[in-house]
Amino acid sequence: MIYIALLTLTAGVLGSVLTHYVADHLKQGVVRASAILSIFFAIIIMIIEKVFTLEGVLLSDSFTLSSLSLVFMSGTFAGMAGSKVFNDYTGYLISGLFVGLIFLSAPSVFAGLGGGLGTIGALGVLASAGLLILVRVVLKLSK
Amino acid sequence: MKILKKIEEFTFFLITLFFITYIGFLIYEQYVLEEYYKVFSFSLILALLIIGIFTNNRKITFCEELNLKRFIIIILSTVTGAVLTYTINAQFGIGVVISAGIVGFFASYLPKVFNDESCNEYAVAAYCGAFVGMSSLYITQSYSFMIIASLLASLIFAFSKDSYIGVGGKLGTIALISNFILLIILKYL
Repeated sequence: MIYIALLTLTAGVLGSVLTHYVADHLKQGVVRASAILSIFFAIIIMIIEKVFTLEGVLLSDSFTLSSLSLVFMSGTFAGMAGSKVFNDYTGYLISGLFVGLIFLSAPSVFAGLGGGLGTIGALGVLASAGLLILVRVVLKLSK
Repeated sequence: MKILKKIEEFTFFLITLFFITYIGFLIYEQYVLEEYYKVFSFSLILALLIIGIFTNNRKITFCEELNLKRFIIIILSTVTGAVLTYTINAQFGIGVVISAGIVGFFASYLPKVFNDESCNEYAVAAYCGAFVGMSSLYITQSYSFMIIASLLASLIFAFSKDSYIGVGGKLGTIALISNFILLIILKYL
């Protein structure tokens, strides 16, 4: 299901990048940015589900359209990362991708326990930070 | 002060352990399912995660700044955030994402309401509490669980102030650790 993979990755990246934009450029702070974007996205998904009667419909094994709200919210947590961790949008974009990847591969670990989305967000941020450092070191060595 | 520093070191260790365990679970799960390309992908993520963890800056200042009033407000904010999220979700059935979002949205106005920038920390604590309250109603089932889990989260939050600075998702990880520890304790009591 390639379109589900694309939707999941897009939701993760959008959550991360938009949160950083609203928090940093629109100066709303990370908490408000994450909260307001998550509410908006969840409402949009709810409306789409109602209009197209997709409520509870499985798009793949365990994936419903409302799962996208969870991916997006997890992405917003990655987007809450500070400028000490990422200094441009690349880090936020990659961390959003990691969030989407983790969701695609293993959505069931610790399912139902509050905080799971944040943990995936943090894993995305740290893995992305690790990747950027690795790339920087490789580029430095190759010069 | 020495004990507080030890607690702070311990919370850093706990969060780090949880990150690694989480990915470890993912790798194990995929290994059992014989999805070897996913085992490889998660192992790569684990390697990057370890680099990310070791290069993350941290400083220990909480002990020097320890203030009982601040500590109590953090606890109150976290518990209120958790109970409100849980209640909104249970009463109105609008889903965990919107419930936590509403709590976070209103909490973000705390510094404006009190005209004090230091209230930002309490808004963050309330959002952390909101993540504790995002637990499924089938798993937690009671307010007492919510209150104890959010108390635990507030302690970890206060003592992890200088761990993983600026790492998005830290609040959720704290919430998950608290919920997880409490579930394990209840299971073996």
